[in-house]
Amino acid sequence: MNQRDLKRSLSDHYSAKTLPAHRTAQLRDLAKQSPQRHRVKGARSELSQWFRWRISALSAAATLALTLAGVYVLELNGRPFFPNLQRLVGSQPADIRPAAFGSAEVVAVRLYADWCKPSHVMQPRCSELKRTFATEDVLFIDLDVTDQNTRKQGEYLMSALGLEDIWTEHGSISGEMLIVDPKRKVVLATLTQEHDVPSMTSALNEALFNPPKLFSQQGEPK
Amino acid sequence: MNVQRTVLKTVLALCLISTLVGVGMVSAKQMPKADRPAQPRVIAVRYHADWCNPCRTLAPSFDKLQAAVRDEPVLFVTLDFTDDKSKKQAEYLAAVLNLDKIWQSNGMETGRVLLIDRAQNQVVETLLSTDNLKQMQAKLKGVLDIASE
Repeated sequence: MNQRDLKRSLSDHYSAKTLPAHRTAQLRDLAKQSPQRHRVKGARSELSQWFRWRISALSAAATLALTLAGVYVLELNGRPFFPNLQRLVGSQPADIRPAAFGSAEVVAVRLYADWCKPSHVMQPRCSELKRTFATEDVLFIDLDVTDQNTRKQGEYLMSALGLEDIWTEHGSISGEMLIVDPKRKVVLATLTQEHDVPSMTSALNEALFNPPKLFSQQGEPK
Repeated sequence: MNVQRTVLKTVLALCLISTLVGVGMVSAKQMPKADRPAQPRVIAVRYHADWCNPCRTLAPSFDKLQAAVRDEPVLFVTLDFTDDKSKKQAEYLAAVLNLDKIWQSNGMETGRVLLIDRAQNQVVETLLSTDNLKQMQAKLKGVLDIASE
């Protein structure tokens, strides 16, 4: 029984005028007791009991904060932890691209530079690939990364296609051909000068007709 | 009372922490990253075919224009209508760039360059093969002034 309860019960009883004499005396004795001592005694047990509760609550809060911080860092590094968090947060600019991504199932992005020998090795192979897949749903894009100005064009083109993440990752490398799934915005295969024409063809075939069931990075394709 | 206060404080602290983290995430997302690839504001689409005469006159001036305005946020794209294969590629590229509506409404007349405001996705200006470099630059500058971020 603490001070407030005591006061309340006392006033209740006094106003009701039904309190027996011995009970009144008992209550008065209680009230006479040092209120501080009473409170400290009661509070200590409460404190020790609820301090544990507080510790558990604080640790829960800390765990939550750490988890959120981890997610936050992952998101900042551009590696989406929750695939749709970026959309949920809603700070991404409105998507002005069409719902239908043309009919190109696969985009083959060739990165080349005049000064890059692997690019020269790959160039005839890529044009042969282009000829082979002329009737398939493949969009071939050539990005010239020779100098700053051509790189800028590549950057603009890739961001206009909504593939800026792939540009960030691969834009600095020439002598590569990226097989990109434009809907899921993922690189399905990276072809280099190590690949000959048959292996390039089979990689592109694989991407076209048997795409891997990847964990979708940008949520479900629209 | 002590209990209630503790509970209240903990709940408040939790709210505060989650609010701070949330606000931090949102603001971090809104802050443009330094290494984020830039978006073009204007797309210059050249309708080209090897067999078309105006295209031949347009090609060198298009390249010159590209060199002249290389610091502006303009994406230069060429849609090639020479044959069926290149036309298919052009179709895909146009679709991917969200130009299919523009394609439908403006037809496939070759030998010209459409300047498109990317945010509005509208044709603002057309460059013709009869324009000289200065006229082209002036037109592009006008489009860049209109085009929103």
